[in-house]
Amino acid sequence: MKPISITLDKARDHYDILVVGSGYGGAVASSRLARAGRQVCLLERGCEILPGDFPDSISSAKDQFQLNTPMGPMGNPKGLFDIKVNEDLNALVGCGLGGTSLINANVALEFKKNVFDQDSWPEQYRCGDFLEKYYQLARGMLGANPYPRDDLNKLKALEQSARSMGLDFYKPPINVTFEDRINEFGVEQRACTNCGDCCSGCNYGSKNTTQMNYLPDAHNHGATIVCEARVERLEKLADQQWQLQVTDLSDDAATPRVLTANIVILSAGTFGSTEILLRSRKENVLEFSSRLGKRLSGNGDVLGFGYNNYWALDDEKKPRPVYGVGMGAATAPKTVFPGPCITGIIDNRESVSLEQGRVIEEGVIPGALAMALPPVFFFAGAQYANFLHYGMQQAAERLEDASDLGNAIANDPGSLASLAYSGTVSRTQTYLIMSYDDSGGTLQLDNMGNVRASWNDVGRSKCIRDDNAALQDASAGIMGQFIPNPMWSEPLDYKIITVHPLGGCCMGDDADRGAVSPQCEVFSADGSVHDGLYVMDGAVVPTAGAVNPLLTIAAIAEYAVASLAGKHGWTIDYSLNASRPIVPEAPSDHRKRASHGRHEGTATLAEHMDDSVLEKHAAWGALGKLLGRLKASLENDSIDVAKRILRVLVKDYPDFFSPGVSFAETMRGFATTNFDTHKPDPAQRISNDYQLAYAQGKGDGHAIQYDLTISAENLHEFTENHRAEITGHVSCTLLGKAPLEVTSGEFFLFNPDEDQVETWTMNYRLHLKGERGPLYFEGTKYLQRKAHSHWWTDVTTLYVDVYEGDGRHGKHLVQGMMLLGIDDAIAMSQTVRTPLQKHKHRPLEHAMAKLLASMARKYPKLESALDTLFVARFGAFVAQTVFTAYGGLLANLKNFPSAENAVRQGDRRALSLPEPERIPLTMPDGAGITLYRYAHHEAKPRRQIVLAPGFSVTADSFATPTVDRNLAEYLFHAGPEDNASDRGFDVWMLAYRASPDSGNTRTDYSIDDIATHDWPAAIRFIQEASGVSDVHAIAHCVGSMSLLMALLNGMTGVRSVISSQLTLHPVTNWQNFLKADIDLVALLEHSDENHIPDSLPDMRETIPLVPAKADRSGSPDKQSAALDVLCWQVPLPPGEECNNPVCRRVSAIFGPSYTHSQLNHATHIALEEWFDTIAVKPFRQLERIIEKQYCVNREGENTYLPQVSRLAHIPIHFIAGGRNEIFLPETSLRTCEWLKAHNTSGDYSRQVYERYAHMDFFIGRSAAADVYPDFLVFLEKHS
Amino acid sequence: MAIQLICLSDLHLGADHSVLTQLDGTQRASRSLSAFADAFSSLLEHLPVTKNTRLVLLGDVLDLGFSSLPDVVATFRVFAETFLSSRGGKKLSPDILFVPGNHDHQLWQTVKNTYMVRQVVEGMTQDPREITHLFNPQHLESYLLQDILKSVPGTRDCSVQIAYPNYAVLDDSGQKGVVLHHGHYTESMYLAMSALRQRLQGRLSLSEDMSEIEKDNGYWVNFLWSSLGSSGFGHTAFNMYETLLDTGASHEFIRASGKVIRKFMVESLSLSDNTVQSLEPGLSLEKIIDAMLDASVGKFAGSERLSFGSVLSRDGIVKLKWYLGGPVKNQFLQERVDVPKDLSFVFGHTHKPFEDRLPIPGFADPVKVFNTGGWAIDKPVVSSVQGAAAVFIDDNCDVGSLRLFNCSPNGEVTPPHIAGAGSLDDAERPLLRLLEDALSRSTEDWSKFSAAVSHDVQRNTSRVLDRYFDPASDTGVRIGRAV
Repeated sequence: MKPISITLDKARDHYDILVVGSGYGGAVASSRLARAGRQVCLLERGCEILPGDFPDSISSAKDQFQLNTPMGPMGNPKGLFDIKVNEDLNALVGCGLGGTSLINANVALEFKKNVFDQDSWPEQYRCGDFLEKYYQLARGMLGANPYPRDDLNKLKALEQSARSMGLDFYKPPINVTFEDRINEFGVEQRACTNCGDCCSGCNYGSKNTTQMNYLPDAHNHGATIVCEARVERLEKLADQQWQLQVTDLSDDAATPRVLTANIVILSAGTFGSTEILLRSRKENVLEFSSRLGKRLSGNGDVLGFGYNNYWALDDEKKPRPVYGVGMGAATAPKTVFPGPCITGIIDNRESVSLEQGRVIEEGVIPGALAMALPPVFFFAGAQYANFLHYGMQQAAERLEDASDLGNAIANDPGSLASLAYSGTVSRTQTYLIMSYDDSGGTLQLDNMGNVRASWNDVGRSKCIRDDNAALQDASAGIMGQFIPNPMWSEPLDYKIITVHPLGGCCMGDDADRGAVSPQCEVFSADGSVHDGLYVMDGAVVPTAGAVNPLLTIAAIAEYAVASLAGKHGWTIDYSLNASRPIVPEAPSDHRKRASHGRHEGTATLAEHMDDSVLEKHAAWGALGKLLGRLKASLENDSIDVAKRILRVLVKDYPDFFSPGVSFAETMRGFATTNFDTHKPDPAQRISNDYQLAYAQGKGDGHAIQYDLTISAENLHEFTENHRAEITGHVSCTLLGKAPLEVTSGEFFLFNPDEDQVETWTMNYRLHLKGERGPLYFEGTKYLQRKAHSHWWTDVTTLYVDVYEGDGRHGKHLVQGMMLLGIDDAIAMSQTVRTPLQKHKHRPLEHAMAKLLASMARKYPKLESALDTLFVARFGAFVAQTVFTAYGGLLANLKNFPSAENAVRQGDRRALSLPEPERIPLTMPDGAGITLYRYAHHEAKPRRQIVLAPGFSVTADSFATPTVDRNLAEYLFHAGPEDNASDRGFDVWMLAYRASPDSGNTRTDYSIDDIATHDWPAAIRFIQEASGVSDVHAIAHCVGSMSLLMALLNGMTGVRSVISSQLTLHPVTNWQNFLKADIDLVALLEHSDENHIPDSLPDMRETIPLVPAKADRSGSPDKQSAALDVLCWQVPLPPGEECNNPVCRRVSAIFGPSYTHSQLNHATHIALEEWFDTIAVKPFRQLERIIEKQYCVNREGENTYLPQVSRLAHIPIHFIAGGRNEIFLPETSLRTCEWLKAHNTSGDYSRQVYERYAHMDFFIGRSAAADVYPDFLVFLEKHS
Repeated sequence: MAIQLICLSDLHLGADHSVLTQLDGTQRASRSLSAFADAFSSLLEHLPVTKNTRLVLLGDVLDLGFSSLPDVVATFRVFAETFLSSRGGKKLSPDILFVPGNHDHQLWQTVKNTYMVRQVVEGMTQDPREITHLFNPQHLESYLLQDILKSVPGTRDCSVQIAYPNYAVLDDSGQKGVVLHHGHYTESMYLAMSALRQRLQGRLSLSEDMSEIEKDNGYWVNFLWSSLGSSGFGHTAFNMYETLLDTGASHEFIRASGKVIRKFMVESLSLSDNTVQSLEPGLSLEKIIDAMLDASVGKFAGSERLSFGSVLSRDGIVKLKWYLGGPVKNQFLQERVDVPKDLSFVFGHTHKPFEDRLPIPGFADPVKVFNTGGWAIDKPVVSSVQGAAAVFIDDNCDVGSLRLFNCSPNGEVTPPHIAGAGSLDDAERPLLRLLEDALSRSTEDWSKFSAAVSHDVQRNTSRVLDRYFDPASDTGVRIGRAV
C-alpha cells in the first residue's frame, strides 16, 4: 500500500472545498465531492500510518498517546490515541489518516427506529426509513459483513452470557476483510489474521478503515490529502469565502498557514469540530446557534471486564479460555488468536423501552498492552474478589489461579507479556456496553482555549449504574469476576470513559433546536445558515444510539453531502469497480516485511562491540561472555534471543545495567497556622487533624503547592534502598511570598511504619530556603488498608507539617494536606524518564556504558527493552507493597508477614535476660509440659513468679524481642530499666499442655487436666528448684481460669495471682456463643471424610493456626488456603482487619485476641511464632462453661465453685481489657464481686484498661508503660 | 461580654437509669442532682450571667419513652425544686428554651397539635408546619411543662418555649453562629422512614428538607421513643432493651426465643430435627435457629456495647456531616440567611460528650462541634467516653464546654474541666478563660459533685449487674431473669 498524503507545505492556498478530518464524516465528504468533480482538499492533523507500522508493544505504543487535560495538552500531538481528560467524562478518540476508524472495532449497525422518533432529531429523520438509502451506501463502501466462522472462544462465551441473561445474541456486521484481495479502490487488503489488534491499528490492512475505502477513493478521484495539518479556527471572508488557520505539525519550524475555500466541511469529530467552532466564535466574532456545545453524549458507553471466567462448553470439564488479548508483538500458536475486536453482540433494544435498551459486545485488549494486563488484573482481581461467590470448590481453584499469577509476576517480571495469553488473563472477557444516556454533557472552551467536557456526576447516573449492573450479569453468566472500569470508583469520583462521544453541534430543525440544520449546514445566531459551512461527523448526532455509531455517522454524511451536491446541482457518481484477488507473488506476511527494514545496521554494531574491550578485565569474564553472546545474537538479527540474554544480564548485574529514574510531581492543597492543638485520646476525636487543617486553610484561602523532581541515579538501587533525591520548590503564602527553593530533599518510598501494623509510608523530607532562615517540610503518605480506605486515595494524600529550622524540633509553623489530582497524576506519568547510567566515575564501566548507549541508539527497541525490564522490576516492588497493603484475601494467602519475619529474625535485639533454662516435665497422664526459668543465680533466694499464657499460645511469647521491654524482662529487673537491686524476680514461664512449646503431643485433654496436673506439678517444681515456698502467678485467659480452678481444687504454694481476662464467670461475645450454640466441637469431631469438603484440612482433632508453608513452587497448600478463605469470611471489629493469615485464623477461631492499635509491626508479623495447632477436645469443656456462664468440670458439673473458701486468703488482682470481645470485662467484674460476697475478708481488686483487648497486655507495644507498673505495685504489696 | 445560652441535655428525668433520678418514693433529689445544683450555683457566681441568659434543655430531658408519666412528672418537679429554683437557676432568665429529643418528642407533638388547632380555628391558610423556624422561632409554649413549673414555688413565673428540631443564633456581624439540635437526626436509626422512602422512590440520597424529615420520622419516633412509657408497656420495652445490652442475659433470651421459634416451626411447618440432620449430621433445628439469633440479635447487642469505644461511630460521623451539610444548610437557605464562616453545632443524644471540629463540604471553616453528653448509666461496665457536659454560648457566639464528668470503668468519675473546640485560637477566646476562672473558684462544690456522681454511677452499675448476676448466690449466675 502506498501513501496518499502530502504535507501542508505542498498544499495550495485555495481549494473549492476544504474538508477537516478524515474519519467517517470527512472521508465520505471528500470521496463524494471528488466524485462530483469538485476540487477537494482534506486536512488531517494526524499522520498517515500504513499497515505494519501501527504500534504492537508498550514501548512503541507509549509514544502514540496524546492527552488533552485541563492543564493543557501533553504527549505527542499527532499520537494515534487521543485521550480527552475531563472532570467526569473522559473520551478516547483516534488521530491519524482515517480518524477514529483506525482504532475502533468497526461494528456497522444502524440505530433503531425508535431512536430517531425522539424529539431531539429533526422532523425528517423521524419518518420511517429516512436514512436507509444512505446506510446502504455506507455499508457498500465500508464492506460490512459478520465474522464468517464460529471458532472464537470469546464469541461463544458471550453467547453463553446472553443465554444466561435470556437476551438476543447475534454476530453483527463488521467492516473487516476476510479474504486476500485488491478492493474496489485498488487497495491491497489481506485476510484478517484474527490477531485481535483492531484497536491499536490493523497491521494487516484487513480492517476496512476509511483509509481502505473512502479516502483512497477520494484520492483516486483527484482529492488532495494533507496530513499533519491541524486546523485551529476559521474565519468568514467578505467574498463568501472561508479561511482556515492551519498549523503544520510535520515540521516544528514551519509557520502556520492560511487556506481558503468556498465550502468548508468540519469533520474533526465531536470534540474537534465543536472546538473549532467555539474558538471561531470567541476569536473571530462568528455567531452560531446557542445550541453549540450542548447535548454531549457518551453513547452510554461503559467498559468492564469479566476476569477469570469459569465457563465451558457442554461436555467440557475444565474451564475454557476466552482469549481476549491481541497478539501484539507476541509469537503464539493460532489457537490463542482472539479474532476481530468485536464479533458478537447481546442486544435487548427490540424488546424493551428506549431507556432500558442497551447492547453488550465482547472486545479485545490490544496486544501492545499485554505486558500491563497480568499485574493490573491480578490486583484488580484481589480488590474485587469474593472467592466463595461460585462455591467452595471453585474458590480453591480460583485461589490457585491467583497464586500462580501472583508468583509468575513476582518471580519474573520480564515475562509479563506472555502471561496475558495463559491462565486467568486468558480467561478474561472484555465488555463494552452502549446504552441511552441523556446527552446531558456540554462542551466549552477552557481558559487555554481548549475544548473541555463537563457533565456533573454522569458516572453516578442511573444509566451508567444500570450499565455496570448489566455487565455484572453478563459476567456472572460465565462465572467471571466482574471488574468495572477502575476509574469508575468512589475515590476517583466515578469517572467514565467513552469511545463514542456524540453531539456538541447537534442537528435540529432550526437554530433554537440545533447547531446545524438537518443537512448539516451550520446555523448562525439569527437562525439562518452560514453559507458553505458544514459539520459532518459524530458532533451532529443529537442523541445516544446505544450501539456503535459509525454507520449512522457515515450515513448522515452521505445524506448531507448528497444534499450539498443537490443544492449546487452537482452529480455524484456512485459507481464502483469490482474488487479482485491479489496476484500470488505478493509476500505472504505483510508485517514481517514491514518491520524488516527497522533492523538494518548490524554490521555497524559489530564495530562498537570490540571484543578486546570485553576481555580487558578479568572480572568481566562471565559478563564478557554474556555480552559476546548478546553481540552475536544481535548480529544474527535474533532480537528475541538478545532480549533473553539481556534479561539474564539485568538479573545478574542489575547495578550496572540499571538506568536512572526521575519524575516530576506536583501536589496541591491547603494549609493553616490555626491547626489543632488538643491531642486527647483518639476515641474522643471525630476528625483527622490534617483534614481539618486542609479545610481551615481552604476556608481562609491559604493554598500550598509543591513542584518537585524526584530522581535516583540508579533505579535498581532505588528499588533496594527506597531512597531518592528531591529538588524543586514549595509555594505557600503562609511561609513566604515567593516559592521556596528546596535546598536538599529526600524521598523515601514504602518503608514500613514500625509503630503500626501493616502501614507503609512515603516520606518527603525537604529543607527549604525560607525568607528568614531555613525551614523544614515533612510530608507523609500512609498506605494502610482500613475498612474505608482505598489505595488510590492513600497514595495521593500527603499530610504536611512545616517547622522552623532544620527539623521537627523547631517551631511548628504550618499544618495542612496536599492531594495529587488525577490530572496531576497523568502529568506526572508523562515526566517519567529512565536515562541510561553514565558511570562517569568508573572508566571501564563508563566505556561499557558508552557501548551500551550506542547499541541503544542503533536499536531503540533494545533500550526500551532494557528500561522496560527495570521499570517492570521497580513496578513489581511498588505493586507488591501496594498489594501487601491492599491485596485483601490474596495478600493474606501470600503470607507476606511470614516472609518478612524470616528476614527480620536475624536482626532482633538481644534480650535483657540470661539464657533460659528449659525444663520439660511429663505429667502422670503422659502429657508433656515445659517450664522456662530465668534465674538470677545467687545464693540469696529471690521472689519467684510464674507466667502462664493463654490457650494454645507459647509461653515464650512473654519474652518477645519484638517490643522494647517484655514482661519477662520487666519482672526480672522489677522495672523498665536493667536493675541491680534484689527486687527483681526469678521469672518462670509455664507452657502447660495446651501451649505449642509444651512438648505435649496429646490432644484428648480437658481444662480439668490442666488444673489437676499441670499447675500443681509446675508450682511444686518451682518451689523445689528455688527453695521458695510462695510463688506469685500472672496467668492469662485459659491459663488464668485453670489456675483459679487448681486453687479451688486445693493447690497450695501460690502467694498472689494476677488474673488476666478469663475468670470463673466467662461472659463472651455473640460469635463464641454461636460456636457453643451450634456445638462446633461436636460438628468437627463427628465430621467424617464424606462430610468435610476435601478442599479443607482434617480438623477433627486439631485446627492449624499457622498456614502451611508454601512449597518450592511458591504455591500454597490447597487445603491450608481453603481454611484461610473460610477464616477471611469471619467478620472482625472495625480496624482489626489485616492481611496476616495467622492473625485472621486466630481471630476467626478465638475472636479478636488483641487490638491491632496496640501492636507494632514486628510483633504482628511474629505472631506465627506463638501459635501452632489447637486441640479441639478441650473446647468441649469451654463450650459448657460458656453455656453455664460459670466454671464447671468436663462433665458440666459444678465441682469448683463450692470450694470458694479456698480463695479466701489469696490476694487476686483481676485485669480486663475494655475492648476485649472474647471475654468481656463483665467476666472479671462478676468473679470479683462473687468472691467479695463469699469471702468478705478476701483481698480482691480489679482494673480495666480501656484501650486494651485481650492478649495485647502481654505483647502490646506500650504494655510496659501502661500495664506492667501496676503489676509491680500489686506484687510489691503482696510480697 | 455576657453568657447568652447554657445547654444541658439527656437528663432522662424519670428513668431509673438516670443518675439524676431517685425513684424511692421520697420525692427527693438524687445526690448527683443536689450536688449539681449547688456546684452550678457557685459557678454562676463568677460568670457574667444576666436575666437574659437562657437555659436550653436540649432534648431527652424527660424520659417519656420507657418511664411512666407520673415518675417523669415527679422527677421533673424535683428538678425544678432543686436545680431551677437554686441560687444559680434563679439568676437565669425565667424563659427556658426546650429543644425536644427523641425521648421527649411528645412535648413537640403536643405543641404542634395545639398550634395546628389554633391555625384551623383562626382560619389561617398556610400549611401547618412540622418544624419551627431556625432563627427567631414562633413563640410556642409547652403548657404541660409550665403546669408542672407553676406547681413549684420557685419556678412559678417560668415559661418554657419549644423550638424543634433546630434552633440557631447569630452574632451581630452575621459571621458567627451556633446551631442547637438534640442529635437524634444525626443517627441513621431515626431516619429509617426517610431511608425507606428514598429506596422506594429510587432516589440517590436522603431528603435534605428538614420539614420532610420530621414528617417522615417524627410520628413513629414519637410513638416508639416518647409515648411507650405512658402506655404502661414502657417498662417491658425497657427491660428488653436492658436485656439486650447485657451479653449474658441477651444470650439467655436468645436461647429461650430459639425454643419458641423451634416449637413454632415444628408445629406449623412440620419440620423436624431429622430433616436437618439428614442435611448435616450434628446439626439440629434448634442449633440453626440459635445460631441465626446469635448472629442477629446477639450481634446487635454486641454492637451496642462496642459503640462505647469512641465518642461517635464512623457512621455517626458520616451522618453528622450529612445533617449539617444537608438539612441544616437548607434551613439557612430557606430562611435566607448566609451560613456564617464560623459555625458551631451543639448536640447531645449520644451520652458521650466531646468537642472537635469537622470539615463540612459547603461550609467555609470547619464546623465546631460540641456534644453535651448525658446522664444515663444503663450497663454494668461503664466506659470513659460516657459522661455529661454543659455547653455555654456567649453573646459573641463563642462556645465553651464545661465537661462535668466522664465515667471510668475503674470507679471514680473524672473532675470537671473546660474545653474548646480545639483550634490554636481557643487561647484567644475570652469565654474559655472566664469559664476556667469560674471553675477554679468553685472547685470545692465541684469535688462534692464528682463524689456524688461517682456514687450514683456505682449505684446504677451495681443495679444493672445485680439484675442478671447475684454475687451472693452459689454460682452467681441468675438464670431465668432475662426471659
